[in-house]
Amino acid sequence: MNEQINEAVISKACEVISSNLGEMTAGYYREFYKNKSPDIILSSLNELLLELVGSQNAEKQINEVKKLIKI
Amino acid sequence: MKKTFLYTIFLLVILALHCTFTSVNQENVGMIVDFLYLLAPVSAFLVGMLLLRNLGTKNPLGFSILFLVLGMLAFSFGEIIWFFLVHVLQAEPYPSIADIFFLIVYPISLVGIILKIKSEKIAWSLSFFKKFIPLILILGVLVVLVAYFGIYNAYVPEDGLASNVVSMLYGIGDLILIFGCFLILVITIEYKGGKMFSPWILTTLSYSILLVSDVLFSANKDVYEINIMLKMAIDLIWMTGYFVFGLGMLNFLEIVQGQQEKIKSKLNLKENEK
Repeated sequence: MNEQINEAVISKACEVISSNLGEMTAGYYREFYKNKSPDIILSSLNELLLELVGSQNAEKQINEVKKLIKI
Repeated sequence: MKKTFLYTIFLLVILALHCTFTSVNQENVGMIVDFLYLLAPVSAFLVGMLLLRNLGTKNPLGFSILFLVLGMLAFSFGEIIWFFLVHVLQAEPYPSIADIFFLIVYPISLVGIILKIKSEKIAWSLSFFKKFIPLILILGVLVVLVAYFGIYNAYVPEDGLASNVVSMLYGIGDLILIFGCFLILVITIEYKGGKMFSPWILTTLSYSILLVSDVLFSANKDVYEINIMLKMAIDLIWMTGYFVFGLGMLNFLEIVQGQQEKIKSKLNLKENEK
């Protein structure tokens, strides 16, 4: 069950990264997120988005991830 | 050295050479001047392709940028055909097949911008539009100017039907471009405070510069080929528009590659820890 949640978080996070930085970068992050807990993944994603798209947009995108994976 | 810095140097050299050769004002340098002009859209397209190679097109950003880059490809084809008609065939370049390529740029680019806007999931509301009231007013003035110079004034009874239709289509294209500029600025504001703000503001600036040069050309079409200084000024604005598009694409690429370097070094650390 935990693994399924983890995979869902990784998939959604990588989808968000892909839509901001393309498929190649998302591929590197997929590798990096392997065996990381959902909390760590969300925090890393939040940090990345804050840097890239600003706080308002980052919050919107993070909320989308949280909503979809129901964390 | 940063790619944007090198591209800016390249841009300045080409603009300076263009100015120098134009001021020489001799018949035999016309081809050199027009060749230098060609470098602007072609280099912007090539830089866009570099970005797409990294981003891929199966994601919303890459897919929308694909259309913007295709727009730049259409501009490049149009300019190459124009160059070929003038310098090789010594034929009248306007109206010609080049105009088909110039005209398709507007809808193609607008599709790219709309795709990006759609992926942003912006909550369109009255309060959202209130933020843009000054901009909407400026755009309103531009719409009036473009409608007057680009559509109403474009009709010259002495010119043939084809010439008039093409002229007026450019006016309609510019109206599309005004709408595109507004939408792209909305995207840019979405990124306020983030690194992605700068490439989008450069892209907005690029389309705005291209719009200004289009309007200037429409308003001075009759004297454009006769008045060398005016031609040089309008061409320089057009070239700057293309170059700023290239700069925006390069800036995107630098941001993406910067993030890739960061994550790769983290991955290496992870490997080393194992």
